Parts: sequence; structure tokens; C-alpha cells
Amino acid sequence: MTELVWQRTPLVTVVFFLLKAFKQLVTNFSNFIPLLTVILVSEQKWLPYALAGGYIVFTIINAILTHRFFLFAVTDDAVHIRMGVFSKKNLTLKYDRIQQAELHETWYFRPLGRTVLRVDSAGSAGKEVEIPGLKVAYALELRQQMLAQTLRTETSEQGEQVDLADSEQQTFSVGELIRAGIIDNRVFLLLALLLYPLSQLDDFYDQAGDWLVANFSFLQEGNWWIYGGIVTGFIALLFIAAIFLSVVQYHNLTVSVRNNRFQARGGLLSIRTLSFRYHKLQKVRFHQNLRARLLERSTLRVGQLQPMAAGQGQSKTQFTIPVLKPEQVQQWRDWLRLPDSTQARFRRFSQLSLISPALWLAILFAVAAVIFYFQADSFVLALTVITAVWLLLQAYAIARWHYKTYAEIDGWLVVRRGVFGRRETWYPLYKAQHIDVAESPWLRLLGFADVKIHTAAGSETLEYYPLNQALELQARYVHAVASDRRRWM
Amino acid sequence: MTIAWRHVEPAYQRQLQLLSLIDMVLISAIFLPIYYFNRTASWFDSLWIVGVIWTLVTLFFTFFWAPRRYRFTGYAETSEALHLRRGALWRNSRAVPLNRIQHAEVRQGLTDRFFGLGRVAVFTAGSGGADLSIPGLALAEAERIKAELMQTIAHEPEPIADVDEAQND
Repeated sequence: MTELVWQRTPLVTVVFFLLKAFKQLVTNFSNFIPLLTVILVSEQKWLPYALAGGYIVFTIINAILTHRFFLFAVTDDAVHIRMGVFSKKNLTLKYDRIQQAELHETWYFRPLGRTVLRVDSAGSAGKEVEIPGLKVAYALELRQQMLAQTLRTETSEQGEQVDLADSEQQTFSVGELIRAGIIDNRVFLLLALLLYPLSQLDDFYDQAGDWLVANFSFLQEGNWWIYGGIVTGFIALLFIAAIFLSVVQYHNLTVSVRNNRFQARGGLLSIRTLSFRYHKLQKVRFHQNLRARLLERSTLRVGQLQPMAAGQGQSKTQFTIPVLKPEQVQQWRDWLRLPDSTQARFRRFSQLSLISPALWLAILFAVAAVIFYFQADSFVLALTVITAVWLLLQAYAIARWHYKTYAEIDGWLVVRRGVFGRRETWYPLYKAQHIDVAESPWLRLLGFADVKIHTAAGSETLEYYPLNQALELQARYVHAVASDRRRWM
Repeated sequence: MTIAWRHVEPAYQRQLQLLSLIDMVLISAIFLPIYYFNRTASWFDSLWIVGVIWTLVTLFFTFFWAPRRYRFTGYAETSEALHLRRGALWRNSRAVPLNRIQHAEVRQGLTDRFFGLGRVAVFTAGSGGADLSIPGLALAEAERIKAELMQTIAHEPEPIADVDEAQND
């Protein structure tokens, strides 16, 4: 074995570790809310400053130490990493185990000509490692070296960055990215982010109450249209924020496809590259929410085997295209070799599957009626309201059943669902991991069973088959998987 | 193709009974101190009702749930897959194709050891824990199943590339 030459990352990477710590703070923000409340309640004025100061000093020292203790060494067949301040960690990533190696060009490294190399390795203990602050040329070389090994063992050509010259491409205009922002559910995420801390801070209201009363007293005079205006303005602001985020994140988004390698690259400040190889695909999902349907756009997400460690930051590594025109959707269908679904016969699940939700709704309705009988001032009004709610929910349950259809086409399982939006999910059946036949007591009473197909990227339930048919289906799928010799990951 | 289901060891039923009894004792161990410190609270007046419910639940688990679960629990090995069925009220029969198994291990917990039992845990990709865990096996049988699975995995032929993939290369 060759002698390991340990290298340290350049000093700027302290920024990387700092930002990482900060990101952690933001993601774990909700954990600190009790602490924040305590701070707000306490009389000590210096406490918040002391805590904030302490945190900042701690983070800076931590970042510097993390940088000091982060070492990596490159050999012919593996990259070794040594890290950790108090608890040491030694990692050895063999090149032939590496699934993915991507350059993550963050905004603070870009002007310095440096980059972050992010490496994913497979295995039940999935590891993700980031080596920050490498010179771009060196990172590219290293990446090449890593994937060259994979290339040798896996025969097909997957290594190189997709060559822009002779690949098929899709580009996205600013208009499309604005649409992506409108479609994106980040709007609601922003809303939740804003509302959640506020709802936790009762003391905030106590303190802000006087100020609100003083400044917004006109609201109490029955000017309801002002309320409406404020709410509309607030939502409009959220949408603008979401659009802004989308344009920044996906700026210059370019999809390149060559030799079964798919890559999406974009971003204004930090350039993000996501890619996957065709044979890694486990699931394809086209999604349209109501806004997307009105704009005639779809969102695409390609599911791959997720290493367990990456479970929490899943969306980070999932291959997602935020906005696709109908013709681009068709293009993707061709690229992903999805069979033609226009001729296929999509089937609904048995009507019997409507019974159990209807039963639950009826029970809830009865309970609500009894409660209102004893509580409400006007029983007739209450009864009307809950009957209306009940009917709406029941109608929704039926609509959901009506729109949930599935088909099996050329070894793919397609499931369509969605009352207001539309979602179409494709699973290559031969890549299924295990198949269940599940009977709840209720199903057993009826002589039915559910078939659950578990893939490496989520599972799907086919509801209400007669038991013997369910078992037959299971046997058929097991045979299809077991007799298939194609590579599945 | 009919599946030849095999039963697990009878000791598994006693193990289930013991485990449910331990759970029930734990529940009462949590409940009794609460009762002790809240004796004045009015809703604790009728302790005997709680006692009757506790006894009924314990009897249910011991004489209905455990035997039922034991009877239904079974496993089968075919040339294509490993099958396991389990559950008392909510039944589930799972099939794991042999060529999707990543690794297998024999596990023996505290109560397993007490009853001289072992379990085979089988892992596939994409989920957290063991995807299939056959309980209530004689230790030797568990070792045999594991060895056979490892043998199968080791002798799996190399996967062939996708047809389309090969063309494009």
C-alpha cells in the first residue's frame, strides 16, 4: 500500500464549515423555540446577547477546529478522510464503491476558483462526504479518477461530465422559472416558516399587542376589505419570494442527456449539478398541482436509491426538474423510455375500497352530531354545517377513488392519482425489492387483500384484490423480479 | 406454484406470551406510581375496573393473540424468493426475491436465548431496518437459512446491462 499523504483544505474552507453550522441551526430552528421563549420571558436583558454571542464564538471556534482537523489523502484506489475534533472519524471511500461524485460550485468558492466535491457511496451504510475548497481543475481530475474506476468495473460509459457539445438538451427561460416559482409549494413552506415561530411566541403577542392596538385600530372599525387586502398582499409577497428563490436557484437551468446519463445544472449564485444514470432509476414521477394544471406545466422527479444517511436531506439529492412544458414532458418520456400510456387501459380499484372511508366518515359525522346536540346554540345550523362538511368529505373520498387508477405496461407499473392536481408515478417492476400481501381484519372479512410493492425509492399499494388474485399477483411479480437479470442499481 | 409453508418452533408461542406479559407488566409499572401519587383524583376511584381491563387485555394477548400469531407465522424458501407470513389480526405475507437480498444475519435477543431460538434478518436496499425477519427459529435452522442465502447471493450471476444501454455504449 502506498504511503498516505494527508492534505489539509485551504483556509477559506472555514467559511464552508461556518455556513454548514449555520445551515444546521436553521434546519434545527424549531428545536430552539422553547429556548427562545425562555429568553423572551426572562427579565435579564443581557441574556439574548450573551447566548447569541456565545453561539457565534462557539461556531467560529468550531469551524476553525473542524477545518484544522479535516484531512484527506488520495491514493490510486481510494480517498481517505480523517475528521472530527473530539470524536475522530476515519473514512475510506473506495473508488469502485462510489455512486456519484459531483462538483458543487458554491457562491463563496466560485470567485476563488475552488469548489466542493461531493461523493456518494452505495451500500447499506450509505455515506456522503464533502471535500471542500478544492481547485476546480483538481476536483475535476479527482472526480474523473474516482469515476474511471467505476467505469472499468461497470463497463458502460458514465464517468464524464455530460459533454455539452453532442448531447441532447433542454433549456429553461426566465419565464419558465417564474412559472416554476408559482407552482412550487415553497410558498406554503414559507408561510409555515413564518407562522410557526409566531404561533409559538405567545409572549410576543403580549408585547406586540399594545403596539398593534395603537397602530391598527382602524381594523376594528369593521373595514373587512382591509383585512382582505392585507391577506392578499401577504400571499402575493410570498409568491414573489418563491418566484425570486426559484429564479435564483434554477438560473440558467440546463438539462443535458447523453449515453444514459442525465444531468441538470443551474443556479445563479451557487451552481448545483444533479445527475443520475439511467440504470439507477427506481421511480419517475410527473406531478401537477392545481396551479401547474392551470399553467399547463408539470414537475418531474426521478427517484434513485437513497443512501440511508442522506435520508434527511433527501430533496437535496433528488433529481428534480421544476417546470416542464407538455412537449418537454413528452421528451422526458422518450428519454426515460416510458412506454406509451395512451393506449393502455387504466383500471380503478374495487368500489369496495370506498366502504371503509365512508364508514369512518359516517362515524365521525355521528359523533360530531351528538357533540353539537349538547353544545351548539342552534342545533339546526350546526347540523346543516356538519352535514355539508360530511357530504364534501364523502364527495372528496369518492373523487379520490375515481381519479386513482393504475395500469401495468411493458413491465412498468403506472399509478395516477389526484383530485385537484395530477400525479403520475412510474415504477420499473423488475426493480421491486419485496412484495407484500396485507390483510387487515376488515379486508379479511370481505375476503380481500392489498398488494404492496416496495421499491428502493418508496412503495405503492394496490388496494382490494380478492385474496387469491392478490397472491397470484405477488407470485407473478416475484417471478418477474427473480427471473430478471438486468442490473437494477 | 404453491408455496410450502413451514412452521416456526412451538417455543415461539411461549416467547410471544412472555413478551406480551412483560409489556403488560411494564404498562402497570408506569401506571401504578401515577395512581399512587394521584389517589385523590376522582377518576382513579374505581381501580378495580382498571384491574379488570388489565386482566382481560393480558388474557387476550396470552390466550388469543399469541397462539393465533404463532399459528399463522410461517416461512418458505423457493428457488426465487424467501417468503414470510406473520400477524394475528393484521396479516402480512411478504416475499423477497433472492436476487434483491443485500445481506442476511442471524439475531438472538435476550428472550430468544432464553427459549433457545434465533431469527434470520434479511436486508434489501432502500429501507432502514431489516425488511424481513423470521422469528422463532431453532438456532441451527436460522444458521442454515442464513448460510443458504449467503451461498445464493455469492453465486448470483453478474447482472447484464440493459439492452438499450448496451446499444448506446
